Amino acid sequence: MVEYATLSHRWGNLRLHTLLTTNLNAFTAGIPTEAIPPSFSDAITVAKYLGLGYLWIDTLCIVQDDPADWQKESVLMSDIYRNAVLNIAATSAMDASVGCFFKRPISWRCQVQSTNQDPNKAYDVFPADWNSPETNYLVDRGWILQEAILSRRILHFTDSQVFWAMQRAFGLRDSTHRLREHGPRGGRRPLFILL
Amino acid sequence: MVTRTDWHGLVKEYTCCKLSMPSDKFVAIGGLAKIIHQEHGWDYIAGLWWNTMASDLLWTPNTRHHLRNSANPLSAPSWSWASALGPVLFPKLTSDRATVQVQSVWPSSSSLVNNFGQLPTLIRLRLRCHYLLPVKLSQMELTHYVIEGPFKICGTVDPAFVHMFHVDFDFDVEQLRNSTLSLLDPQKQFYCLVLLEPSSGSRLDKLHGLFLLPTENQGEYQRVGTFKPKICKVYDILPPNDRFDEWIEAINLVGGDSVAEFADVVVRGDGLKYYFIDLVRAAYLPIMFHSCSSKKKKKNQFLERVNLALRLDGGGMYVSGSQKHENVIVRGKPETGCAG
Repeated sequence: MVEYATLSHRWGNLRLHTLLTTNLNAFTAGIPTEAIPPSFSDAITVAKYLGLGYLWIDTLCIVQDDPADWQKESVLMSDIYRNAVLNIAATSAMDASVGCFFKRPISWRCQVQSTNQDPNKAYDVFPADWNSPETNYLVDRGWILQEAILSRRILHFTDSQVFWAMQRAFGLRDSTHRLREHGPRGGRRPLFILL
Repeated sequence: MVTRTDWHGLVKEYTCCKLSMPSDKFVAIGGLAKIIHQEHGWDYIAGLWWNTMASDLLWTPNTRHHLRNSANPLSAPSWSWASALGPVLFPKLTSDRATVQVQSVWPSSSSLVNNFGQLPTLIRLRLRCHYLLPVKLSQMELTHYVIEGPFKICGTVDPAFVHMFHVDFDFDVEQLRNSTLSLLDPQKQFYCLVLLEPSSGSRLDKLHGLFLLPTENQGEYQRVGTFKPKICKVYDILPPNDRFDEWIEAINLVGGDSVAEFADVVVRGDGLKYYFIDLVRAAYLPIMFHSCSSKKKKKNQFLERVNLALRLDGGGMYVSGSQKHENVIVRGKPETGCAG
């Protein structure tokens, strides 16, 4: 079984170099760099960093001007997201020209120990604005609902932090709510590995 | 296990989201539907499930701002929530029994049932129905009882009592009011299709269903909205025996002599009759709209709520009631004359 990542991104108004019937052969041989905007190249970096050899991106994996291919592939999309090891979400990118990585103050970690409790326990300390919501361009996109529900794990790249979300237990009542509340309280942790 | 409520929750959430391509409406949620189909074996038709059709058909547009209008052509059959322009809601339902069953879909069930991709907007849904009630719009004086929304159905079986229902239209009725071809003509015949029947013994206030406009073809209807019970003061004067089954019996077209309202009536071997109607796309509506009035004007119109009501024709129940009343008066006159 091939292990691969998927990408959730917002198309926005950007005209992307997509896979077409006319360039299918050329793209199969090698995807030109013009067809890899920053969000895509950042996703490639992430996938490679995590040891994944494959990445699925809709604009490059579905022939965009072939209705037959679209009919076939659009229905398979649920399986594509469900079977991926990881979904990389370019959450704060208005379109693919923005990318996954954002400039922000150098990462730091501050831990404190309580003097009157177990000395082996340490507590992470975060600045107060850590809870401030990041820019989320994906949250109201129609396609994202099934991508978010079906992906096993999602790594969100936002302008204020990187966080991951586990699969919502699909079928439980709870799963149908709170997509909008993927905030820090939504059971996620900051990841520091990429900073 | 996914339940009806889960699906309604997903649809509610999904319809809050935006799509760059309106034609993706079915496709972008089709993956979830496909998995539910695979895991539960349920049959899927245009965003709804065959076995929970009655409650799935009960979606309503969430806000007035997302009502259908002439600027946006339909991207799905008008009986499907996918044809709504914005967020939809489903009523909270308890243990109500479904009173419709899907009989067939047209043009072809093999290409429509369990199709999770793009769909045509013309899909005819044939339903076996149990309660189809003829209603008309009429001006009503009961402003006092209006709690919200500009429209209500008033069903009068016994003229002494008034049953009220609230109608949620799928499109902007304010726009319609300015148009010459008004849908709000008091002579226009509408139909209420009851989708859910209250469990036995409960009162009328559990009734839910679709508000339909017939087309030119026999037994064919367009969904124009939904109706739901209106809890209002009038109920205080209802007698305790105001039971759903007694009331509905008097006005239901199913089981009556008339078959003109149905697409098909099938008599089974044991003599039992099945009544079918077709739900089709509401193609008629957009041409009735005028250009949208200014926002400010619109707001004022909304505030100045119309007190229109729907009168249940009730197989002549209301009419015969008033005629009887008139007859008494008419008869009274000669008697007085004689006495004089």
